[in-house]
Amino acid sequence: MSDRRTGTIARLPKELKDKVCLMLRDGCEYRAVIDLLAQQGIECNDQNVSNWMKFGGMDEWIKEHQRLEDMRAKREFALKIVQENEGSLIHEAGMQVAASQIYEVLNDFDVESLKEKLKGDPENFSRLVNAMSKLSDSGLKYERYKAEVKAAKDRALTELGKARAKGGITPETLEKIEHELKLL
Amino acid sequence: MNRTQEIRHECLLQLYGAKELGVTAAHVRKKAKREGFDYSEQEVGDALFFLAGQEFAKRLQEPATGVVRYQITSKGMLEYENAQ
Repeated sequence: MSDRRTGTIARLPKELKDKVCLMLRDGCEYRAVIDLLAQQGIECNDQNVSNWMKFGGMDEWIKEHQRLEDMRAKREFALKIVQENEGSLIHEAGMQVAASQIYEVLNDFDVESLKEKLKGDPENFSRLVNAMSKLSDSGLKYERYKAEVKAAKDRALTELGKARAKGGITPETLEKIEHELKLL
Repeated sequence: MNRTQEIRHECLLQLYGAKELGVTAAHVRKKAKREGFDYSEQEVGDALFFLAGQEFAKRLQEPATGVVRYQITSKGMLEYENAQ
């Protein structure tokens, strides 16, 4: 795209520029940046770094870096949710779509506007806390149910394995399996 | 950077952030608006269409709903990184 910045730091390859900007963001001295670039064979002086800091290059980088970090976190969270439900709730073919949808929902959630809405309204805040505690309770119950189902399935499979080894299913084994399956 | 280029840059940034996940034009617009950029959905759609034409993005259509999403390509990622 045109109108790119043309300073020494601006023209660095992304990886190196990110390194330099992270150093500057963390408060490193210009000298350290100049030394790092010198190691890579790039000539740079105090003025170059100062220009980058003074004329908005650094501000732009920070803003974009923060946005990308935020998107990365949301993307990873969306993918994690989908992967955790792999093989149960979401069919594999729909996983990418589901992840995209969750990603968009996560991005739609705006903490600032939520804060704004809750400001000066303690009643709404208590309602929100209530809803969240109900949600987390349901989540715990669901996790417990999932663990119970998994344990029951494992028991049923063990019994089946034993029956196969014996050469057939005894009435007791069959009864045990039926019992476990009823739990599901 | 003129307005059109600015919108294309914003779209490419968002696609780069979403990586393997596709995003809709409406979503890109909403997110841009939150950052203080007031683009219309048509403008964003045009920019995404342009990026797809340059092979920086891929157009994906959800078979069940018909929703159109755009996903960045390797070429698009490199373009974004080089433009930095």
